[in-house]
Amino acid sequence: MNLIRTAEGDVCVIRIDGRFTASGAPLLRNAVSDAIDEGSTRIVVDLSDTTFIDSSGLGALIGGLKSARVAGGDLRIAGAPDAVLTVLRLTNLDRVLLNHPSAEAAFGGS
Amino acid sequence: MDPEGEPPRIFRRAGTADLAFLDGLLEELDPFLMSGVDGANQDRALFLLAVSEVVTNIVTHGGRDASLTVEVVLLPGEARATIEDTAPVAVIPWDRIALPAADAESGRGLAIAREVLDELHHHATDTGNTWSLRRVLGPAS
Repeated sequence: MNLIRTAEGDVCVIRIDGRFTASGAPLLRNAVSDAIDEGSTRIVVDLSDTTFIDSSGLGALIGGLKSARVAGGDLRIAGAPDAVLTVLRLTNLDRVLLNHPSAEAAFGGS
Repeated sequence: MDPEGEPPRIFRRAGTADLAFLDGLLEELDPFLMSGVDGANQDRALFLLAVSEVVTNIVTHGGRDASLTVEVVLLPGEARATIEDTAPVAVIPWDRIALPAADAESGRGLAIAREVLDELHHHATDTGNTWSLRRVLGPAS
C-alpha cells in the first residue's frame, strides 16, 4: 500500500493506493494524526486506487474519523470503488463513512 | 479429478505469522483466485477478504513465534482454504461473534469472515489451530 498526503486549500487529502490492510492501518492513523497536529481537521481519504480493504483498514478509517471529529473537523471518503463499497455495505459502515464521488466534492459546499 | 472434469487448482504458502506474510499472501493469492476457473469475481474477492481476516486474526493474536500454512483449493463452483497455525489454541466465542458498534476500531474480522463464507470452522490441534474456509462461487456474470 502507498499513502500520499497532500493539502488542497484547508483540506487534507490522503490517497491510499493498493491493498488497505493491517500493515497499512498505522500509516493512515499517523497521517491523520499528523494532519490534525498541523491544523488540518477536514480530511478526505481518497480511495480511488484502493483495490482491497479489510477490517483493519476499516478500523483505521473509523479511528481517523473519530480523531478528526474530536478535533472539530471531519473525515470523509471519496472515490471508493465497488470492491471497497461492498465491504462498507457488508459492515454497515456505509452509513458512517459516506462516499463522495471525488476528493474535491467531499467538502464541496460545506 | 473433479467430478466435473476439471482438476482442482492448488495454492500453498507457508511462513511466519506476521504482517509481511499477510501482504505477500494477498499479493500472490489475489491473481490465483482471479484467474482460471469460471466464477463471479465478487465471490472470489469476498473469499480473499475472508482469508485476510483469518490470517490477520492469527497474526494479531497468535504470538511472536507462530507460523502458519495456507492452502487454497479452487474447484469449479467453490473455493476452499485450510489454514494451519502453531499459535496457542484459540478460544472463539462463536455465539458472541458479531459486528461491533459502528464506532469500534476493531473486532470485525471474524464476523466478516463468517458473513462472507458458506462455511468457517476452527478446531484445535496438537500443534495449534486449523481453520477451514469454504465459499461457493457463482457463475461469472
